[in-house]
Amino acid sequence: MHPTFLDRHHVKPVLNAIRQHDGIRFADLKRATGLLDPQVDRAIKVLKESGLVWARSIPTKGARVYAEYVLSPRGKKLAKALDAMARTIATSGLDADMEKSLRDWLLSPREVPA
Amino acid sequence: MSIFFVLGPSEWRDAKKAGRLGFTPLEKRRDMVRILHASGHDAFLMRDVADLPGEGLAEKFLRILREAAPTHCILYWPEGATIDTAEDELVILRTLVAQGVSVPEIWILAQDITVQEVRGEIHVHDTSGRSAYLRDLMRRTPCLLGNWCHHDDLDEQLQGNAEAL
Repeated sequence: MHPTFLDRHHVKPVLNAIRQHDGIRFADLKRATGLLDPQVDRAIKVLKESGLVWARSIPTKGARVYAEYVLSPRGKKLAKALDAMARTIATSGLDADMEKSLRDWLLSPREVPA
Repeated sequence: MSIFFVLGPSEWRDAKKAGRLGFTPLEKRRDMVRILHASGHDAFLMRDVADLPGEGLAEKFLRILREAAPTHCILYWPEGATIDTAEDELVILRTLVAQGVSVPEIWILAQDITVQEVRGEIHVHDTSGRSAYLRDLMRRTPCLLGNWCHHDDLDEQLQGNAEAL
């Protein structure tokens, strides 16, 4: 079975870390995920190309422009839907294995039926 | 429903580019307005709003912010455009922010070769005069940056995000 979009390039932990914050900086993403610079960089590129994540400028007095990562409106909509499904799964009285399988499946968009 | 004020340039620096692409930046911004309308939002360009007698550009911009109450300003930022209107709009926005005036949420939809975020830092590669104002605006207020490569990608980004609101 081929890895899904979220399994490639460490996208899943990076996306989850971004979901949990209203703006997270590159260095904090590294700390939160335990990944290396190029790994976070690659995951961010994939997420930006997919349109799920945008960069947001951080006001500063310096000459450089720094950014943090946020979910785009499209990313927020998707996250809301995933959260709602995760809540449904969590309250469905399933055994732990089944619940875990369904949660994993939830984060694999290619497996979601049309 | 959100209300989008679509800002940006109107012409290409190289006039031949309009022939190659089939549209000017102004026409592209009109396309963006159509996409936003189709997604159920209100959207307009500054030049769609009639001038009042004796009204300057800044006064008109402020009147639009007050009367139309846009929820979002979208800044269309393609490679190779003139600075004309984009420069004026950026200067006004930047001035408002500097004065502590609340502004709509700003989306910068930039072609990836002009503005790019890399490892937490935003780089403005565009060498036109407008880039200094854009950098300054981003340093003064949070702006959301969505990149696109080709204009088809821009349409898709805009539609997907507008429909998600």
